[in-house]
Amino acid sequence: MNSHSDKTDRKREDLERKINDAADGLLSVPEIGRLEEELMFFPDLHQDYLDIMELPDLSAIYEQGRGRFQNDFHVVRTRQRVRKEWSQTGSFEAVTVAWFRKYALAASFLIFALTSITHYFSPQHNIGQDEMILTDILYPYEESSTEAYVIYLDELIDQ
Amino acid sequence: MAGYSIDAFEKEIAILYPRLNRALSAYLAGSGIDPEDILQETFLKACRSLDRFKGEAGLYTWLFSIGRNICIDEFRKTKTKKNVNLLPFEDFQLASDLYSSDSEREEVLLLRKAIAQLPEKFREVIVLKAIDEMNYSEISEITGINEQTLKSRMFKARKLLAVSLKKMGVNNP
Repeated sequence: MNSHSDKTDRKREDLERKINDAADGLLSVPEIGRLEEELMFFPDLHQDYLDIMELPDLSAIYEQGRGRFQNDFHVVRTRQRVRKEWSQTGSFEAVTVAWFRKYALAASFLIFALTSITHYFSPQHNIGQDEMILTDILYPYEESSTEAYVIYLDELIDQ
Repeated sequence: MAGYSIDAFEKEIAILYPRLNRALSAYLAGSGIDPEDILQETFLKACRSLDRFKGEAGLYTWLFSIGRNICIDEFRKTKTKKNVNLLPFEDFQLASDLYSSDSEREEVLLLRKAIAQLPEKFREVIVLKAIDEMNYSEISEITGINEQTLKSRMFKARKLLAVSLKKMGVNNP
């Protein structure tokens, strides 16, 4: 029962698509003939088909906007506003992006080169003497703890 | 393609503006939102984001996506989606010199009204496909909805439109 209903639904959907294709002018004369034959088994769809095919050409109901309106007031005004908008915002963005793309790589190389040169000419004796070692930070030297330990040994010897 | 130059964009405005005006006028019809305001904001936003336009989508498709997002924000602010059906007939004004007869003018008026009364998801697909003449692939790029779903939605939109026109007494438009 359900499969029969599904089959009918699919057939209806298929016919609706074909009616739409016919209205779009995509079907040939023999294809239209076959469609009309099939629609005889679906009277409601056949009526939809007739109604749809009777619709007028809607492309003609908004005639303004056909062709090119080079000197139309609205076109001229839109051009002026677009040009003004571009000069205020668009050009700034474009220039920024273009400069970034053009010079970002060069700037990276320059910074890298300068850093390397500075590092190369820096005094070598600093390394290992004035630099703080990691263990110094983690285990700070405390004189008091060493003294306490020595005192403790002395006391042991005395005993 | 890295971005889009401002000079090239400025040259395209003469072609893009009228088409976008047409599509947004249809999309916003009856909403109370002025398409001209949305258009100006769309172009200014696009101008600010030109370097992000990669050219994968068409320039017009990209521009329409920006305009659509602005419209959606406006819909949220004004809640016009709920009020669209309440709009008086007089809100759909047409220049009489564009049409050869009063009956033709009235027919266009009714069609515009019928489209404006469609729920937003159906109106959008009708405007993009039938009025702006985009293909489903372009509409899919803008809406993020797959083409099969769009086709199904287009069928329903056409069906609703036909019903609406019948109710308005336009049996054979």
